[in-house]
Amino acid sequence: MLALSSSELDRISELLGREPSLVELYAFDAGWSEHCSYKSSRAHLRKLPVEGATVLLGVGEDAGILDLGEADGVRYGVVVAHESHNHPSQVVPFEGAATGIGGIVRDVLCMGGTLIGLLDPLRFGRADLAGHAHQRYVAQSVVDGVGGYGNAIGVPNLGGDVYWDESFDDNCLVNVVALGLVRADQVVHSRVPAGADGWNLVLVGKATDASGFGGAAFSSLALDEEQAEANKGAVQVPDPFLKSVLMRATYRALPLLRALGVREPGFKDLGAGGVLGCSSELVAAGGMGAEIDLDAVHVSAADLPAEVIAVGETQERMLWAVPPGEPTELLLRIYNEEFGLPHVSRGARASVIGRVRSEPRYTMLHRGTVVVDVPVQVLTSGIRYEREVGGAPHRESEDPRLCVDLAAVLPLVLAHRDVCSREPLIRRYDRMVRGTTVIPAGHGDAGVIAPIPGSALGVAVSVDGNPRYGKLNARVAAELAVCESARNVAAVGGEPIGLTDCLNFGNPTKPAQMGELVEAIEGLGAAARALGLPYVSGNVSLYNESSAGSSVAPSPIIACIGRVADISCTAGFAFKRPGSAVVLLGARSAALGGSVVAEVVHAAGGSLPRPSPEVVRTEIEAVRRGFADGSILSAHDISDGGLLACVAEMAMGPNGENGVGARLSSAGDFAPSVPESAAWFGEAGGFVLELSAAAAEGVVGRWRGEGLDAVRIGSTVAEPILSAGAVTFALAELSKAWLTPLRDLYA
Amino acid sequence: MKTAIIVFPGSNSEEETLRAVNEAGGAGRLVWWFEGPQALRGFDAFILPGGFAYEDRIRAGAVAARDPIVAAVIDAATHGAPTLGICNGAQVLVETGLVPGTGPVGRPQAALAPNAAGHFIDTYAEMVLSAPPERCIFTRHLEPGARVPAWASHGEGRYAFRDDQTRRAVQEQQLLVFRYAGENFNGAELNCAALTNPAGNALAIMPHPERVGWRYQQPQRAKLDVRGDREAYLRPYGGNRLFALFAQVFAR
Amino acid sequence: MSLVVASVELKIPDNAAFTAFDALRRMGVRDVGDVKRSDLWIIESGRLPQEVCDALKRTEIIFNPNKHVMRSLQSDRPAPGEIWVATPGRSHERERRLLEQAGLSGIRSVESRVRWLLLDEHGTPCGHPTLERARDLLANPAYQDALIA
Repeated sequence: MLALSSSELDRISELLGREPSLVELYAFDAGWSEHCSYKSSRAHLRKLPVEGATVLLGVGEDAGILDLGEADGVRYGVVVAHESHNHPSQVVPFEGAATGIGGIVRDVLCMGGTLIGLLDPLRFGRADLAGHAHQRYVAQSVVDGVGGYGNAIGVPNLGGDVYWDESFDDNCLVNVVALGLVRADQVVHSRVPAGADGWNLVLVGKATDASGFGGAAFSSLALDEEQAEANKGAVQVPDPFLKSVLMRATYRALPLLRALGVREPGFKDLGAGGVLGCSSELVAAGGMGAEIDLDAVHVSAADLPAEVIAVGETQERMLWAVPPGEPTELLLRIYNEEFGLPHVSRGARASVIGRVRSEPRYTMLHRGTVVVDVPVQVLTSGIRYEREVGGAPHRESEDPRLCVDLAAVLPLVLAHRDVCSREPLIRRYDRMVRGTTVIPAGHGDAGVIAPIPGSALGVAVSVDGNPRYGKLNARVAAELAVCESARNVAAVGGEPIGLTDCLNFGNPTKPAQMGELVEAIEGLGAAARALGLPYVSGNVSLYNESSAGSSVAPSPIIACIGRVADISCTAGFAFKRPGSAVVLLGARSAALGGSVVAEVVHAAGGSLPRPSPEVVRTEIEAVRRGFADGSILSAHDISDGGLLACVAEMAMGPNGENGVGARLSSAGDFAPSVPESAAWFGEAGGFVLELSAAAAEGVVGRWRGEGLDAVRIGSTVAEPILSAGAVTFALAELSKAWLTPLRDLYA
Repeated sequence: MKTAIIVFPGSNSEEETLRAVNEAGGAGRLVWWFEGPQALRGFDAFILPGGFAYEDRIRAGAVAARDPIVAAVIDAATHGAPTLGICNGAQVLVETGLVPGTGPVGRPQAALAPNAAGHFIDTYAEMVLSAPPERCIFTRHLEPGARVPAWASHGEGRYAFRDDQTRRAVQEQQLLVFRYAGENFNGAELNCAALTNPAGNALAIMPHPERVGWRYQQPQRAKLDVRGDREAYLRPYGGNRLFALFAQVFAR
Repeated sequence: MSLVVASVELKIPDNAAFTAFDALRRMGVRDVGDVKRSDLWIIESGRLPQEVCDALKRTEIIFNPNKHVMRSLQSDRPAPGEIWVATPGRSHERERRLLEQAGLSGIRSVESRVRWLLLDEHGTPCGHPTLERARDLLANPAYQDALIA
């Protein structure tokens, strides 16, 4: 089961000056896995911007925190975490997807946050094709797992996205983003404070069992059909019922601890590396050590081996560091008696499993024998590799000269699996629980919530990353993903304040695949710097490749978090009323590489649109002003399917029943320098805006004066039609094409 | 009216339900399951909120319906205390037999069975008042045929009746308080969204009125006329009308 | 018999079985020491049990080797200590389609049950009075049938 290489084994003996014990061996196996130590990516991740005025807490703890602003004189932060659970979801899709949510929820909880939202970016194989029963099973069961967990714990789904590509046939991607709300003065840290010598380490949650043993190492190995069965020890068992109770018990414990004067408890999620990984990082982050008694860990069976108790990755566990006496007794009472964990899950409870000590040494006892005794930083410093970075494949080429028949092609574009309505999938998720949802998932380019009761302060959030672009050029795809996520937040009336990234790539030991990772990180950095946005959280998932050894489409998946100063100045993408001006903001381009239209008409080749993040920034600022002054009635980001698909969606609305039509001029009138097909279907980013008729002329004139590429392209109308130049569509026909494709999988 | 919102392990809509009661002018408090039946003393009305009590393991509402604290609620309800079950709370009330209450005490006459589609559905679901307003204490201030917005989020929300006799009794006694105004998305018998008991003091309502209970939660069109007015956005609206009773002075 | 009864059981911990156990104990059903649960697939196709089980395994949705074990039962009636819960009127069209895609021909009927097994502290099947007390917890008679040995 050990994934350590022989050179890594030698390095361990060298570090310790002796042969490691069995438990130590497993500890290094987990700690030095790609999943925990970012051994291939860390050097490159340093290039990302991580600082800025909106950052309350940057990268480095369980989750990052962005400054949301003040409500009633209290400053609030948005806790953000972004993780992947790709490999587990391929093997046991339901449990894998569910435990992905379970893990990230704990990351937010451990920062002292209240869970306020979840998003789920998903990438599946060709589940829509006959003969792909396995891909279909994965695509359905992952969604069931996301819903089964998220719905039960009562955290609203705020969005997500889904793409289908053959490169995910053997290796789906299941990312998850979680948001929390915390008062800026009540942030809890994943470290023990100074003066914590002698504090108790209190483990809460599920009884440790053999499930999830070998998890961290498992998630860093390429998947192999035969190994799937052998890896079953690493199947993690989700328990959203236990999580729901743990969340509420924790919400109750935090203020009571503060009342006892414990303002800086240590609190950390047990993820990769189990008890050992979590406790060593918690104390090392405060410059201290710990002694752990493995016999005090509550377990499911008396005969569990020491290494399983020490590093097994049983779900639904967290670790507190609190002073002895009243604070410790408080935690034991809340979890064990009031909230009755033992009744919720067999053997679940809170147990004191060890103590913090000032000497930075980490020891573990098992049945009276010392099984770990090392300087703590040896466990937590990880390992890194300078991987050989090869040239990333660039597969762009000259753009095809398309001359498509609008009337025939628009319905096909709308019915494409990457464009069609996500409603059949989204309606498996609870979007309104907590009563804070302002714009539900699927109704706007970003989800919007008002998480503070009685306050108009809101949060907008979107996730993006297009695998069709990733396959052509990882760097440009990364830039496009950053720009699109920021535009999506702006399109509902939000102001982008920060980003998270999850880098889903192939095998870092293969120079070309490592090259894609490195180029994508460069693209992420460049775009974020130009937009003035910091990364506050992130994750790297490598070894995403098929059994034949080809990588998944390079997939930098980005979440953008936005501040909404006033929720009454937000809107979903549906056209609001007839008689408004339809305005295009953002230049069209001839680029058709990776576009939906190229796939629909089987046109090969093409280049990616080159975004200019500086221009995107000024466009976003213009849209923000338009929402604030009320001139923008609705907005929609131009992405998959291009301009015409974008306008069609605004006319159809989220359920296809909006019924406000639009008449647009000919492409030659507003984009004379671009071929007609590329003007309507090219995927260069931008916005389509519905402006009140009275304001439109002034606003467009002002924007043009500022150098923006803005042009009125038509009007909304009362008839349920969409006309583009000389071609007219009935909205009912378009809705039929757009609404139905995913019903086959999810109805 | 002092209203207890009862939180089971696995409940998840308690906070917004409490807000809905208080914003309607009531006086609500969360009562946790571990506080026990004695904690319900002094309350006039009860709400069982939405969520997944015991994760709806075995079947929705089955385990919670057997909690001692629920026995105390049913006892109060049979003595006339206003009792509202929303979503998971409705599933619990139906499991106890309180609603529709056409058979012997403690015997369920109906079920909230898995949706006909076989999976969880999250959708806007407007309701139409289908019994005379005075039939149920929660609706007596509404106009006949009133439409009340709500949002459904459930996997087991299909009202099913035990037998023809129950079905007839529900219709004859006008216990079917709300039907869905639009598509019968979960396959419920009689397109039923909410049932009351013969005394009219209990209501088991499957979609959530508190999820469309403030202006900001309304569908886009229903808030267009107050764009830019933050006070209006934050005001109770729509589904909050079903919480009006809790503001009244209660005389049993 | 022409019916094949396949029992699909979790080999990872079964949370629902634990909750049933805890609920029964809290209801005062003191002689329950453990609860086990499985999904039963009752299939009439004229095929051998092995062929039916193999087809069920190929569906993936019904059976995933990483979390399930499967065996065929000798009887289509509950054994001592068991309560079988059926949901009349539940459509099994989807499962029938999956089985056909998995290569099982001649399917005449597909039905399912949830099988609960109640054991006492010593691992012996619980007796009839205990099963009677558990019946209403495990099945709502308004839409389900509970079958006891």
